[in-house]
Amino acid sequence: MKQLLSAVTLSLGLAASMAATSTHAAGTIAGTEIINSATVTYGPANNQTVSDPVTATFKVDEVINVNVTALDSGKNVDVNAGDSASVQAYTVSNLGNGNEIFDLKQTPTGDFTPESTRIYYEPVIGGNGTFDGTEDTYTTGTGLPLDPDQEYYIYLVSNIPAAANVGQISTLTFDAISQTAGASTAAIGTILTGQGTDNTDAVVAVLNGTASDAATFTVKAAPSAVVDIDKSIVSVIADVNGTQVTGQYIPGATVKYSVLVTVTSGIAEGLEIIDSLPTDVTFVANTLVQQVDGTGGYIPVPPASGGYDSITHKVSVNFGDRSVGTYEIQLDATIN
Amino acid sequence: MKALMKSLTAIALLVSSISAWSEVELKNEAFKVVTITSENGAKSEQWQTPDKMLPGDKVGYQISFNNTGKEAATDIVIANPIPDNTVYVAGSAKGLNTDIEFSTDGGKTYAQPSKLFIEKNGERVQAIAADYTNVRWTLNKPLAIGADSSVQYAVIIK
Repeated sequence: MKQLLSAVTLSLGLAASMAATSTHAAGTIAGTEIINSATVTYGPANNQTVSDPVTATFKVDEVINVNVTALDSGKNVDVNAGDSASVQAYTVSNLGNGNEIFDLKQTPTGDFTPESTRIYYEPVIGGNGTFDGTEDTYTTGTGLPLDPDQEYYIYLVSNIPAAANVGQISTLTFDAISQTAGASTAAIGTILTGQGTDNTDAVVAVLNGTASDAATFTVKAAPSAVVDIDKSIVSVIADVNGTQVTGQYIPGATVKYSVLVTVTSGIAEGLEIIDSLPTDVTFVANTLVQQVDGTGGYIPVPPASGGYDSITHKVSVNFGDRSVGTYEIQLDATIN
Repeated sequence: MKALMKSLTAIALLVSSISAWSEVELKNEAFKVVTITSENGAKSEQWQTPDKMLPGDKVGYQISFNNTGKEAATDIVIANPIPDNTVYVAGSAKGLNTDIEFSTDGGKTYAQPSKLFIEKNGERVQAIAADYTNVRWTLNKPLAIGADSSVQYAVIIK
């Protein structure tokens, strides 16, 4: 922290005098002089001698300590492939008793690498805790100075690759590293002679002078799928005394229904078509078929995907997670 | 009138020379108080040369005094404000043949701990160590010519 000293000597003096009345979680500010002053009085009551104060003085040394905490719920942010400006939020807090400069760094690991990750910061006091683009941009290596007890919101803002698949997870590890010479490789308890505020010694209270936390991006199916649904009658065929009659809705006629779902954008998660049949028709067994994207013909719906429920009088077919395309079912029912 | 002035001057000189007959010199030293655990688990405190003084550390002060004058020094009182940014450690003040008292008002009044009260939230409550602003040792016997002694107390750095 010596680099800052020439610039901040005056304000440090102010901090030291303020420390007498204000309490810091980090304790007395490094560089503060602790002055013990004793006087002696002696001699008979009518002729007392009072000595000048005799003092013992030392400076409080610096503790280097820092904390980083990922703020997102469950330390995870759900994202969609191709998202831009996906945000992870952290706090970095100077738990030491000296002004300290920290380098901020992020490291990706996992199934995919977030793109163009940028680091933004804003003070917790005066900040709103939500990334809105008004924050300052941090360039790794430049160093962010923090006063004792000072806390910043940090936002890691990334683009999610369009090629990322649903279910993939990427972890960003965020580090705040003390820039005091020797701190970044120091064991806890290491004394960095003369490296503290105001030429005091600095004692490293956090391994490698570094605090870390991590959060994940988990790729989810795009929730913004746009789905159209269209139900129609394909045909009505009745057998009247041995003659096939079409288009007549008469008892005994067989109606072929079609339900067509079109996903026009995004990914429809757990796409399921449920068709409630009219009360005055009877489902014809083994007529439930499906077709995807209008090609390949109509194939029977596998029992695992759905079927007719005689109790609810509904037909349901589960297509699972589906991207842009058409998903159709057809079924026959007779008019009672 | 001139004669009177002369005799006043003489008296003043006499007073100053009387006080010079007993002369008490002070020495004030700070130590870092470190708790040492021996192999058998016993803990003891060592007063070490101050080094790496951090918030939370315990600091011991020893105020030594000796009589460099030509007669015994009487009515010796050592007064010591508790330094800013520190808290007095209860029970730490020591001194042979002294009465030890504390102040909570910056040294205007002193009393023994059991008789020290402060106002807190409109109530009069017993002062605790953290409320002490000053400590004072009153020697209850004179310090002989050439004799020396010392008093001690400890604080925690806030």
